[in-house]
Amino acid sequence: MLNIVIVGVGGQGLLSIAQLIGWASLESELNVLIAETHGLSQRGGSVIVHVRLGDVTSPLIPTGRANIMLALEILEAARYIKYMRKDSLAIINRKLIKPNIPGVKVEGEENIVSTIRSRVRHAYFIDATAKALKEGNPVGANMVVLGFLGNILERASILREGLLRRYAEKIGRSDLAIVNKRLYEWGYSLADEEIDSEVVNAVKTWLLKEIP
Amino acid sequence: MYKFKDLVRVEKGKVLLLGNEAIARGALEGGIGVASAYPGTPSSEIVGSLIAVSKELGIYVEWSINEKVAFEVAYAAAIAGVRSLVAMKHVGLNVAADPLMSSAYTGVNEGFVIVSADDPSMWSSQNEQDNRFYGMHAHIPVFEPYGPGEAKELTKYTLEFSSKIKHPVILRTTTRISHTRGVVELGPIPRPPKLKGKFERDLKYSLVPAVARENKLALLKRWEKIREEVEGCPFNILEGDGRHLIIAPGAAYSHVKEAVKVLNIKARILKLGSVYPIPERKLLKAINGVDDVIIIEELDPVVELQVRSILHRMNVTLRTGGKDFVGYPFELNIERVVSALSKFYDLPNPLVQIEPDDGSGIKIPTRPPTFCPGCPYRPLFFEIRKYINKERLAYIASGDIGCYALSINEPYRLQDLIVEMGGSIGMANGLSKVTNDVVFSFIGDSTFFHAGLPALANAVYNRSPQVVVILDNQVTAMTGHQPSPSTAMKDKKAIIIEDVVKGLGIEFVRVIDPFKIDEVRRSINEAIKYVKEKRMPAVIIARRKCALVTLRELRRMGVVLKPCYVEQEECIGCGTCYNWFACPAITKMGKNNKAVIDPSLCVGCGACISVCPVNAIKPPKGMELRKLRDVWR
Repeated sequence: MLNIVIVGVGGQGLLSIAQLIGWASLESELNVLIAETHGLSQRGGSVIVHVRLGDVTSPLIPTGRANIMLALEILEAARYIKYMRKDSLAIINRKLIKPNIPGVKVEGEENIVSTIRSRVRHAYFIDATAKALKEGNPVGANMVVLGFLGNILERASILREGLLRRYAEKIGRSDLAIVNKRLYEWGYSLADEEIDSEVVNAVKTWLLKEIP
Repeated sequence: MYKFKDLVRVEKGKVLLLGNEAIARGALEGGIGVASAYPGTPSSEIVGSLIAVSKELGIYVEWSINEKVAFEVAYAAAIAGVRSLVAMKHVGLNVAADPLMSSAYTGVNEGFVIVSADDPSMWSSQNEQDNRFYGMHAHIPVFEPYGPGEAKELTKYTLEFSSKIKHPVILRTTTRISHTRGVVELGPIPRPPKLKGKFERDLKYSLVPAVARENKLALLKRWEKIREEVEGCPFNILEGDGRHLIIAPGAAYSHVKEAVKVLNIKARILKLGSVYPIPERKLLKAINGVDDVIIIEELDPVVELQVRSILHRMNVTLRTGGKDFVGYPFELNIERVVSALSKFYDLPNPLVQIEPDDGSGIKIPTRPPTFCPGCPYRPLFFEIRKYINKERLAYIASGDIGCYALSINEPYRLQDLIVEMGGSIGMANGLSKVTNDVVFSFIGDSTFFHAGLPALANAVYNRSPQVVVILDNQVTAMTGHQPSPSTAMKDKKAIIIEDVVKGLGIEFVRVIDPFKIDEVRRSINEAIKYVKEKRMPAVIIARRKCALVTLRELRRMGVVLKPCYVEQEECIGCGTCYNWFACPAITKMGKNNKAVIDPSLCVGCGACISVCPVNAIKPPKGMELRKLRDVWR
């Protein structure tokens, strides 16, 4: 089984990418469960989505048992780090959104990043929001991290080649869809450079495990 | 890639559906002709999905005014011979409890399924009541799926079950089923479903005491049939072998299945789809030859009570565990089940984290949900808070259920009580009689129509001096933008709230635009004066569309708004915008506490512009403020 947590701030498009992973997984003949967060807690709050692939029945990942984290915000990545195994993989949008509390004290960005690095063996930080703003979709960071993950899951032969890209292209109206595709591909090519076969092989073995 | 409605013509194959969509699909495959609901997390997507296909299938689906009315719509359809489904969140069933009780007494002519979407852990609710008790209370059988795939099949089955016994059925789901996306195997949808029925006059439908007494006896006879029928329910499954028995109703099964693997236990698992009544003979067969039995269930011991009662009656002495190992509050997960089982069987718990989360000592502040950028409620609560502080007003803010409940948080703190739907005006009716404070009640448009109307009528008639603020964003926003009577639709006229309140006899009525904070201040001031003098309720209607609706409309028109920005030279770093107005897009990032607007979060609404005391916040580049007011509305 492969346990993926997708974390971030409500409104960053976490549910969309979870669903895309779900569709691509089902089409790659994998069982899939996605536990979503809806309703009031979604409005700008802290959000975690559990995505489980393979031989699973419970929708929830136990703490300390997630293999992969996709994070769209660094504070949220740090908040949910308790879900991660030490040998796990984290793909993180290097973006800080301060909680909307008057006078809130937030740790320095460097501190947050190094904490995450110390807890997860393979942590990759991407300036996805900056790229998305430049390309013209302020909330397109999700497509970048999705592209990064898509590359790994394809190389690990978990998802069939090109499936996720095809779905990513269809999100949003015409001009937005073009931007999204570009963002997905940018994330995808980043993983080409940064991810070696050790990580790909690890991901392969995680899927084969029967116990979380 | 597909939406729910794209699957109407698909008759087989595996698809990915949300649990609630699976229930909707099961209802279609089960041949419903009518469905109704009042939205409420985690139930909303059931009828939301059905509405999307209602035209194509010709079925009647409505968003009703509240759960009681929704219940009556579907119940009446089933009495008149049309299969129906009503869906609501757990607390909604409290609102519909009156017809629920009666429905067991009259029975129905066709399948009638009541979906209760419970919310263990209270992700979006004021309590985590276990609605399986409603089945016990009302003499209505309760069924529960363990995941989205089974949810579809079970919905179909319960419609058949109800149709066969001619008795209502409760289908209970929980957040983790309703809002889990999983693999669902599709089946055919009967075409056309039965859409028209016939009301057969029968005395049993008129519940005067003499009739009700007869009906009670008939109900108990049906109950015997129900007990027999659940013995053959294919969703009750005994699997595995060994000298231990684990009973796992509904969602608990999904966690138990993985927990026994983690612990490597050899056990029989009795998975239950019928949770009230449970199949007695099946249980007795399952305990035959085991050393012990443990019931793993979420929230209250509804199945455990039944199991213990049966074992006691049959003089079976077995070591039995349940809530004493699992605990009562909050939703289950693999960890909790592993922990309960390892204690019960005296095994080491392999999931216990040996190293505690090191976290390296960094502090992570909480991130409570907040009003969206562009939300009309933010300037409203900003200005009211400012007014209260400035006037040192002695006040009570009686709150309600809706997005505005978020004003409980800093810096607004304007929800001193949140009790239930319509509770704002209702509680203010009492508070205004026993305190000398200015009592505000804050209620949204949808909540007002749901349960605020009777409370307001009471306020008028019994002369309750309260300032009622109706936050009219013309939609049921929090649950995902379902229409409310204040929503104008192609084929439906909006009900004008000021007409309604005037009709009830309210003399002080003001309709304001919450983006205009001067209007907010003036109307609040006048309303307080009126209430103090006349000792009667005053109503302020703050009307502006939900920001998410506005954004969607702008996107559809191809309008892309650039973000607003702060002129750093002009900003004095007073913090009014980021501390008191508190839009998530504005942060204290600049030098000398100056404000900065995050372009990835700002929607360009410009609500913050009038808030700045030195006019340092500017409308999106290339757009005048006046023009922006025309675009963003």
